Amino acid sequence: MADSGTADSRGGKSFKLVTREGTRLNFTYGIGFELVPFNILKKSTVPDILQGKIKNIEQIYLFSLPIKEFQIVDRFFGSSLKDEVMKIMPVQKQTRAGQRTRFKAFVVIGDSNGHVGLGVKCSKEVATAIRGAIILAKLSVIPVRRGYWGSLIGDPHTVPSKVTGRCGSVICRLVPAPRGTGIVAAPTPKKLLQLAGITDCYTTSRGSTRTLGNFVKATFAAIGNTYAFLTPDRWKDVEFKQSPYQEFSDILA
Amino acid sequence: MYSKRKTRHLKTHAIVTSSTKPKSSHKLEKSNNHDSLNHQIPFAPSPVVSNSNKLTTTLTKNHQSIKKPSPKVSQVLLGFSDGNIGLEEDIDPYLSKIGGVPNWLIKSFPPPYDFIICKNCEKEMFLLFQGFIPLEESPYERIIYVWVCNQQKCMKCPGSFRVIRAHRLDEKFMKNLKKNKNNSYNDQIKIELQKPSTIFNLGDTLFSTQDMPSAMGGLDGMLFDNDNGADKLSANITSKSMLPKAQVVYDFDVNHSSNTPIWSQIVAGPAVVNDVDSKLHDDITTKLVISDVSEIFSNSPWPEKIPFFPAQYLYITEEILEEKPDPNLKKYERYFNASLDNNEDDSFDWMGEKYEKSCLPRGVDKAFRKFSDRVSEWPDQCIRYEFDGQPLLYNQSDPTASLLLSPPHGSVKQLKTSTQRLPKCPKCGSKRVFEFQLMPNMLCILPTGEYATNSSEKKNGIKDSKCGIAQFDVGMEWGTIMIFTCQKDCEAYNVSKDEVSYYEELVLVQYEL
Repeated sequence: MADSGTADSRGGKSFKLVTREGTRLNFTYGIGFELVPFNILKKSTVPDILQGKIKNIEQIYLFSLPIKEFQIVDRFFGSSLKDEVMKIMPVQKQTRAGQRTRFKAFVVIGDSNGHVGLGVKCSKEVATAIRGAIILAKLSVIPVRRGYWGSLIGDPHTVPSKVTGRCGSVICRLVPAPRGTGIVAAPTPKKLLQLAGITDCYTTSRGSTRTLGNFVKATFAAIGNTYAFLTPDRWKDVEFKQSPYQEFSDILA
Repeated sequence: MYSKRKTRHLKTHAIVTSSTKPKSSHKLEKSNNHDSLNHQIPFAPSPVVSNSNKLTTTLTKNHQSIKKPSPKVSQVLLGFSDGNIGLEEDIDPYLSKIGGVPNWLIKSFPPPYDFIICKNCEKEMFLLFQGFIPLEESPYERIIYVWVCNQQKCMKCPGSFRVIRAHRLDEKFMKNLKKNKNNSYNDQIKIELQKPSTIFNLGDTLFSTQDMPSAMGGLDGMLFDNDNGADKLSANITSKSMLPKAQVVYDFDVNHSSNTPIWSQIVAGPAVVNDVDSKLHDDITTKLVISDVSEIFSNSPWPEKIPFFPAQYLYITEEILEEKPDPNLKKYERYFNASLDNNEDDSFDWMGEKYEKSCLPRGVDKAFRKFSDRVSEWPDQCIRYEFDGQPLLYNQSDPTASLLLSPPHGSVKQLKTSTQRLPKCPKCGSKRVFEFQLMPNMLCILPTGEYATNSSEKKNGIKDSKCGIAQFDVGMEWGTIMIFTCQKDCEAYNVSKDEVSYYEELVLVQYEL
């Protein structure tokens, strides 16, 4: 969840780079005593973050670098990230000495403007599970591409194309909707889509959606696929060259 | 005996108040310290008085109200960067610092210049850390220097990280030690003052060849000459003219399993170097040959100017860990009392959930979580010092970690490291222990990017080396550097106060991923 998706500023070029082995996303540095997180893209960008050269998280997404510390996400988003606990549920494991119960927390986080994250954490105590799930949600923040249903007026409001995601047996499909439709979905993925900043969307789902854990993960995967989809406006112009046989015909002849 | 060593403590100096930054107090100490025989600032903690007040007021915004302050002082000393050192002030060998020019214990006795040439790219390496770390009960002044090559392509290659330890006798301190009968160094001190007969035994094993190039210096030839050991030494030691200018005794690790004298190995050519931090899948112990100096004879003089980073003072203090309060979970308090029977109404929707392990991003594992949690308490720490302590691992699955973690491939629940599989000290055969580690924050503080030269020939696939991800590809990159030194801090050559002996120690590096 953390390293899929490519960044694409609206209408700009986008390309997916494979993460290089030499990149680091860990560094601790402090500004005075302010807790500033490790995470560095590269050694030279640590001071870049400090100096403001890395201004937004899109530059991190551009190179598909894994984010290893949640404080980086905090730094980029500040207070605009809202987290919400979707569900705490006890899960049980049978042991010789009876049943062992742990609590599983599902947390979604988002800024309602193009970024969402989903965190799932299981722990013996509720507080630990929630805290851990919030951290994991921050680590998995992903960009969301939005587009238009019809006319290209105003801000993008819906998914750019039909995208689908699956997890377990659950398949979730998001379909573009005209402005004003709202989010047509079950309550749980609806929360996720709202935090993503998608205003209008139709959804279709299939499979055992009662396992809401899988359902939510499938929706999250579908949202992540919005940037993985190659739409025609991202096609690059190819200049047509002669084929090698033509080009070197005099030598070959 | 040597199991527990504590560093010498500072004179009670710095009473750190909340208003003053560490800088001013630290510089105050420095000004007393330019007397070369005055050991004022070893690598030791300054007692941080009123620590909890100072720290809590300046802690992060997240740590607003400390409900239950229970600060725990750990045994680890932390080093923080504490202000620039000007070029003209960067002359004191008794200073612990980051970057800068290396200052030798005796100015005319440097280690061989070839030591700081990176074996991979043959460029000069940069001094990353110089620490004056005398050990208790040791009569020697002890400095540790860490050199790292600043080239991206030299990372993960052998020979680009080196560390040496320098010894010089401190006569004053030795006299103090003599008075202390319980001192375990007494034997060694007696050896100091007599004609050392042990040297010649050492010489036999080390040096079997007779004709030493005179570049080594007259006394060396005398010391390690098989034939007329005692006579020559006593005859020549009196004439001062024979004492060479640059008498440096240095010693580097070699393959322990071989019985051939070191000299011949060195003359023959560079020994096989296997990187300890990569390719350690097979039998580790036999393959581990730490770097060997191939040109030990070269007496190449040190150039006037060597490349260096701008130096920074180090502020040393003890690590104080506090329990962090939870900032933002107030709104979820209703969940905290959740019990099994609370969820019957909508548990129908969430049936079939099972325990699942968290899906972590790449490179985050248990060891890294511990690392980041520990460091996040003091994010700008640069050095972690704990003699014979436990290093903080950067990750648990790379070759360095597998070398340190015990059991090797078993469950690593506790992440306890042990140094038993590391190569032993070549001089005294005792095991090596962890001494300190350098933290990645140093890469923030030192301008490694600006001092690095781009090797553009490496990037064939990318047209413009400046575009895309390649623009960040400058300088050194590492996760953490761990230094392991001889547990007994052996002094094989019994140096006097006019000589400096150098020993190479073990450095292990952990990288990202």
